[in-house]
Amino acid sequence: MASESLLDYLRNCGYAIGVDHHLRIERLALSLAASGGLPETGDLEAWVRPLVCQSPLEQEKFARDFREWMRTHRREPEAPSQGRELEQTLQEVNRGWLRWVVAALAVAAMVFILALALSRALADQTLLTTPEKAPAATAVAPAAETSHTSPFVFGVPLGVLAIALAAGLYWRRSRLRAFLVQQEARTPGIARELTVEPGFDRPIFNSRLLVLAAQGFGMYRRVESEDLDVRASVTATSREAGRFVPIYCERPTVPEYLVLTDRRSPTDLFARFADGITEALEANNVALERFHFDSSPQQCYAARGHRPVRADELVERYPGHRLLVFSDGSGFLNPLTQQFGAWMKPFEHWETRTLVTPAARPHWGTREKALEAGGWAVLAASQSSIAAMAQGIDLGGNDEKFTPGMLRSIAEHERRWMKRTAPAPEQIAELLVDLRVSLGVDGFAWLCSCAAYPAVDWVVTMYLGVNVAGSDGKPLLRESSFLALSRLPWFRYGRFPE
Amino acid sequence: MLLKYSGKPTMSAASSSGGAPKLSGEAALRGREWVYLPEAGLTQAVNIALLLEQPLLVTGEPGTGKTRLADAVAADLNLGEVLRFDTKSNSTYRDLFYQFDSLRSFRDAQNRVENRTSLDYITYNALGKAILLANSEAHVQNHIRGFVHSGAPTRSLVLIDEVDKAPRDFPNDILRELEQMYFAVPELEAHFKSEPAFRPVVIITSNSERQLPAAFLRRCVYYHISFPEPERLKAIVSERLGEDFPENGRLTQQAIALFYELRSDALNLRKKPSTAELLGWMVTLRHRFGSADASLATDSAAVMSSLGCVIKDAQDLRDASAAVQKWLERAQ
Repeated sequence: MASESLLDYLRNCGYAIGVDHHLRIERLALSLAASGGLPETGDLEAWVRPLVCQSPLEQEKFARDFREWMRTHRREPEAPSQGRELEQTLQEVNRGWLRWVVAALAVAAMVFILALALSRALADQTLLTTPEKAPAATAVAPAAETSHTSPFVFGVPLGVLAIALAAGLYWRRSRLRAFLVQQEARTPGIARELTVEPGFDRPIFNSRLLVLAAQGFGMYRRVESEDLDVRASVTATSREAGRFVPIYCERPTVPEYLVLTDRRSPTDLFARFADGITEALEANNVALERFHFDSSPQQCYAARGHRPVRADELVERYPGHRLLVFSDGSGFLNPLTQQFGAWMKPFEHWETRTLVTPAARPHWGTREKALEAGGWAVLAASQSSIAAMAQGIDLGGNDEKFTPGMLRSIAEHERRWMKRTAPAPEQIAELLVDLRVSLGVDGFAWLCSCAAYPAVDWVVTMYLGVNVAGSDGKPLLRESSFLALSRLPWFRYGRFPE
Repeated sequence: MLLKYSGKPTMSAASSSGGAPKLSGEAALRGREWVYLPEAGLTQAVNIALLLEQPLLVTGEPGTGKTRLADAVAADLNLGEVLRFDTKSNSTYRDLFYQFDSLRSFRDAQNRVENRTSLDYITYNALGKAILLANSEAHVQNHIRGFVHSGAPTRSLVLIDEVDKAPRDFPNDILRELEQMYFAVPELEAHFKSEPAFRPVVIITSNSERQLPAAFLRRCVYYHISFPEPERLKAIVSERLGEDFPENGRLTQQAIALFYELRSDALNLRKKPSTAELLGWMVTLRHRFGSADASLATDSAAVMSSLGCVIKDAQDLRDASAAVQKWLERAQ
């Protein structure tokens, strides 16, 4: 039962747990029970890890996830959390305040009683000593004496002091409470928590097109094998009057792809779009290796590792792969000469190399021309164009008619729009006009919704796209609008300047 | 019969034989003498694979002992010599079981060589041989050529080394064969299946250079051998190279400290040096410095000239030289 619970927990943590895992664990438990060595729940980690993990990163993560499962599912005594500590402190503060108020009131009451007793004693002493010395003043004196010996002479100031003390304590307690409540806050600046279902962003990915793309990418290709084709060799040899002519068989093989994604920031929307496409291709059994880079691909990072890999090392590792790069190609060329940089030399090794650019075809310029001249197949990013390319269909640019592009002025000076200092008002006005034109009414509304928060986040962007209605009453989320947004520098670098 | 790997330090035949003197340094490396110290998690993973009768897939950097694990398990379980298949970039699933020399067959047919059968052109490879050995000789005697069968069925250990070098089809094509432990030889019109009690043990290694298909991964027990921590590496060095390299010797300690410096992410070498390179480098250093307690800082020229043992790339060598020079200056 513990292993079932653990597997369910691990599935929720993102491990690819299937029915076969349950069967294997059950088989393992039976074998261990037969040999009398059934492990304790705490020892499950070492038994389950080799069955569940499929990569070094998963193996590393597993230890943490197992500890967390043990903590939550075994109901072990929990270490006091920060929240609980604060709650306890708040209770202590409340109890302390009450104690202080009671003590202050008790002191005030005691002082008042003492003052009363003192005044009575003074009044008695006055009555005993004064009549013989000043009989003429007796008519006036009692009133004066009464006022001097009243308990309020001492009691009122002391009462005020006690009230001031209590008020001071109350003020201090309020400040302390406010500070603790502020400390307790976990999510500064978020008024309401967004809850989204897994796959809520699915509408952006067209599963039919991606399956078509996967079928195209996965089509077998024929390569020469080392096996002799006996029949063909006999025919060829007889044609050559007996001189041996070996003919080798061809064998079908699955094409493999090397996917490099230009990721300008951890929340780069275009890179996330590329990830969505490659994940869908992987899920449909396309054999691919994924790496990412920042602007220039001379140094890449594996999607499943941290160590940087140089381009020439990629050539050594994956010489027979087909290259697919998601990038605008700006880091491929020397910005002054618009010629390929020396760092791009290793990429010439791959015969089939394709660049999927966020720039829409109507906005292509010298960069795209230079890339095409350098042997790259350039493709505007959209699922239909990728599917068509995979299926070997030449769309001739017709797929891009509907795609609004990013203005060249924004693209070429994207760093300017990321600066903390605001541009001149007239530049901003011009930018807003340009954005309205290039994104359209709905795209611009989506941009404005996202810009309300300074950080760009995939979930928030998608949530707004799904839940905010456009001018036609339908959700803003459409691939064309999304791609137009993803080309903007704020969505690539993951923040809006304030 | 349930097999259980003890995980105890395993010695090679050379080092475990009592009569032979224990080799040290270069002689130990040349003499193929070794001692294997598995991690606890790895021992557990081997035992899970044995219990479930599934292949064990081991990943890790070069030099972390993936291949040596097969020798250690075979020695511990008395499975005899490891049947090894070295995967190539053009390996096909058939190569794992057998090869048919069609070129020789064609030539013999052309030259009218008589008394030849298809069996003469077949060479069995690692898993094919293991499956045949897992049958009684009487059952397979008409199909054996090129190796000796002991008569009774025996269990073997098969090592499929660096499976990630092979094309994507390779792991996909052997899924069913690995599960069922059978293979067919169309040239002989025969197929062979291992007896369940003698099912071969399979260990597969990968350098993680290529993502393996999910269907293949699901059918394997997985373990990643992480690169050893400094203390463990010192123990490995001392075990592998012998008494000339004591764990607490200054030379060993400094060389290992410098080795981790060379492996650091900050230096970002194209190819990080592995344990095997460290061992070779340490033998060189020991030879140049003459004492296990010598300080590397006393002869920086000797250290610099020996870097080629541990760094195998021109650009890396330039980057590493500067870092080593700084390290030696700090060590003085």
